[in-house]
Amino acid sequence: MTSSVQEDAVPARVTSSSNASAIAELYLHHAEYFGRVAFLLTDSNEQAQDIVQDAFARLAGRFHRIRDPMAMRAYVRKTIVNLAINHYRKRETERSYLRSSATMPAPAAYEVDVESRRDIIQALRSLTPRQRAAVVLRYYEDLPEAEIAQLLHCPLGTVKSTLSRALSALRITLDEGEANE
Amino acid sequence: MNETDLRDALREHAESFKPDVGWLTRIPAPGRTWKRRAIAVSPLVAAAAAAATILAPVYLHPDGASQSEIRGHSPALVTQPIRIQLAGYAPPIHGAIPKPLEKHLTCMRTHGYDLPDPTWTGHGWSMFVQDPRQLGFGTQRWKRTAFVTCALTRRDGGRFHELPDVLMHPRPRLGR
Repeated sequence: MTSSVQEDAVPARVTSSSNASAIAELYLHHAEYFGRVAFLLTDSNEQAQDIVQDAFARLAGRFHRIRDPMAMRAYVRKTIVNLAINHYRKRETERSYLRSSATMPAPAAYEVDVESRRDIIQALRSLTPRQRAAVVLRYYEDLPEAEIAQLLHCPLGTVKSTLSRALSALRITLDEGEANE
Repeated sequence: MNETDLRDALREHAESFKPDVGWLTRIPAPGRTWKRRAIAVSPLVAAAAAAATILAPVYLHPDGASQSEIRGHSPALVTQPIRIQLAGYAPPIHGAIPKPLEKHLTCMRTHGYDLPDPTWTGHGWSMFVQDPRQLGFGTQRWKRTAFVTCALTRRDGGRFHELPDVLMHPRPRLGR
């Protein structure tokens, strides 16, 4: 599993080295992985890179308060999810403005060409930021629902219902795509 | 679509993340966010410091005390009679108090500060206050009234941010 490999890769001597080198070490080990997570959340290479950079910069600012390497990963992950959700919301606001100006098609008009993995990713774009974050954390990062609840600041039941609704929404979008063909 | 399809799709899509060349070597520096915050705050601090520096010399103690010494006095400690010097105003015109200063005094009196008439010392205008405590000299309300509400060099409709500039050169602007 990708995530478990990454968990093992946490450098053991992070706490003993100086702040700058520890951050560097952590960044070199995890930046690419977190970049992928951010990419899944934002759908943008540039945004993903910026978000990861920002998350690590924030970690660097609070480094002295975090002693546990696993907590650092959790901190970075949480920051990335929050930044991605914020980015997504901003983008949605822009889209809704453009939609009202009738210069851009609504996201519901995304066409699903063929039943494939690509279609699933297309359908992922129709989810809300929180649903998308929950799906990525659950099905890409393989995080337990309890941990997702902590990350998203919501009860466990809410995570379960969010995931359930997200999967239903994905299936509906894919079915609609098939029906349109 | 089942959960396995979703996992596979996510994994495949994640692989298409292609960072820019050199992104991995651009290690975020510690304290970057702190610097951003510091930059965001600094204009406010600078503006406050500039306003304080410019406003402080308006009221000076005549007995050679430095400005910081005056500012160090809490209103409660100023119990002895004092002389307040008003800096930056025109000398008497035919023995009369310049109009702007007169306006200022009238304003202060209207707001409940019974200031005595100032006298020309050859270096500026000064007022002898017998009981500064009773007058309320140095209190926040007094400062607000003296420096903001009754700032005599403030032009009609002028804003507080225009005050420092006007205070430094009161005479050329009186005609406006």
